[in-house]
Amino acid sequence: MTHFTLLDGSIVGVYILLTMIAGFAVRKYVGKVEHFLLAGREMNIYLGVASLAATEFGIVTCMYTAQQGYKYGFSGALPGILNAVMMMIVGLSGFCVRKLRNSGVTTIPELFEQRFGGRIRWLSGVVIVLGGLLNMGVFLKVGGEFLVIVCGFDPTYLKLAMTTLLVAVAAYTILGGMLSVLVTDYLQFIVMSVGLIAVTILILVNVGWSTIIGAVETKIGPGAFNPFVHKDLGAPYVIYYALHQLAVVLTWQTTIQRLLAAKDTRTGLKIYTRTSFFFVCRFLIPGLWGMAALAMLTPAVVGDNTLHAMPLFLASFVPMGMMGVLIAAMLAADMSTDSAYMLTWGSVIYNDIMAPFRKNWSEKRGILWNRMIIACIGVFLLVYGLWYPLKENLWDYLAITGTIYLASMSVLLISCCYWKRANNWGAAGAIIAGAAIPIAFLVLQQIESTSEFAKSVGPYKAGIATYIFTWSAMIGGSLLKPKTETVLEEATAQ
Amino acid sequence: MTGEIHWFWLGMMIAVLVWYSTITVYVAWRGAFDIKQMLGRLDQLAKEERDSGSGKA
Repeated sequence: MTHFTLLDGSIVGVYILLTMIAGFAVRKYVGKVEHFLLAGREMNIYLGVASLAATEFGIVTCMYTAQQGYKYGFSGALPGILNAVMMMIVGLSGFCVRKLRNSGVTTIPELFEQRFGGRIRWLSGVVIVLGGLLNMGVFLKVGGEFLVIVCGFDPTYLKLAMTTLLVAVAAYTILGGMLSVLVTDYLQFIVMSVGLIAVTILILVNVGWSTIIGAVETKIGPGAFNPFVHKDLGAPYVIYYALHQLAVVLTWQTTIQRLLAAKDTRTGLKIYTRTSFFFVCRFLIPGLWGMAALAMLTPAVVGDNTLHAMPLFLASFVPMGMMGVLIAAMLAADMSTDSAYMLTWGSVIYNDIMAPFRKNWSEKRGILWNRMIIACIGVFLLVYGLWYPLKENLWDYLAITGTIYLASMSVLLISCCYWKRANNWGAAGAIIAGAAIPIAFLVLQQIESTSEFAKSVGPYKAGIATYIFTWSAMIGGSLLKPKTETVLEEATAQ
Repeated sequence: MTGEIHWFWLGMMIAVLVWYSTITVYVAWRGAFDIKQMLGRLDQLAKEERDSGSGKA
């Protein structure tokens, strides 16, 4: 039984209307490609904080972090804490990101070209776009599942509703680029935050902290509070997520795009430090919702798919009126993520993959191509994410597509910034190793005769192995290349 | 030890709610000025650009 009524629908409608007006209003300021992709590098701290927070919280985030809470209790929020710690360290020290912002590039692969050559730039662009688009491909579908359960929509109309929403988001992103994304992110951050805080307080007041703690302790055990003593987590979980979150902070394209859009390096670093604690909220708030679902719902109601536990709980728990605030908040979260992700992968396609093909293009032609790329990404999302049935497990899918890109790109970035001997042989080896191991793990999981072996290794050890092999490939490849050849290449480049 | 860990997570939850509520209000206030400043600067740059001609992508 859902509590979504006409009043809730009106709240959602007003929110969507205001967002669209704001998104379209700023399109007149787009005069150059740099305005379209990086808002002319005029973004200040608080707009950056709002945009980064809104971008990195979508319905898909809410769903899997709530699932973490439902399955692992508070231990499931550890990736968020590690993300916040890494972001604070990187923001304070400027590790890699200071050099990246100072270089004045538009994307990370553009920086790689200066060190590793044009082919590595192109290959990096392909890996980033492949990993990123496949990762994003499921956002719309998971968002749709949330809305179906919470609002009680007929799944038949849901496809139409999500398609309309995607077209609306694509429309303002195509017209205004980063400027529309920033202005709408600002509004979406406010709506999203109000909804998240209000529902969390409602849960704490009506379900109660002690009820949640009691349920988590009884149903999960001591591992719910300490990941080191959880039978499915342990040290590999902590180590893997420490490596993973450092890679996310250094190379996740949506985060980097905000660093590069900042008006100067100092502003970019401040955006990092001041947004860092949001990543604890990003995991702990939906995590608490998941734990409340664990406390209030029986396993029979939830069924086999624990991803649906949190929306099933909210559908019966959130009252009329507040339901509109929740849905508006979730749509805000999803719209800001979709628009920012479409723009960010589009920027890599234009700036890096198309780099060899665009010579002396006018600003007008550059903007037109960027707009066409975003439109194509929108079509891809629609076909792949909503209409195409996803066969793989969501968790495996997101982990693999993310690691394919994050392991190699973080190794390349650190080497590019701090290791003089790093070269294109090492870079190519790192890209291949970073993609090969996660894919091999998935294949081993799927083959019947090797699935037990894959299960005994587990995703966290496989993830750690990916980082070790990627680093080994970078170091080995770079040392194998004769020094004279590197010197000759550098001289030619100059 | 169990009690200490429970207090740790309670402290973390309170910190999350206090920090997030505060930052939402503060960012809502300061972010509006950032948008105004950003659009004003882009407008100014566009005027300067129109006076001196346009470049290449």
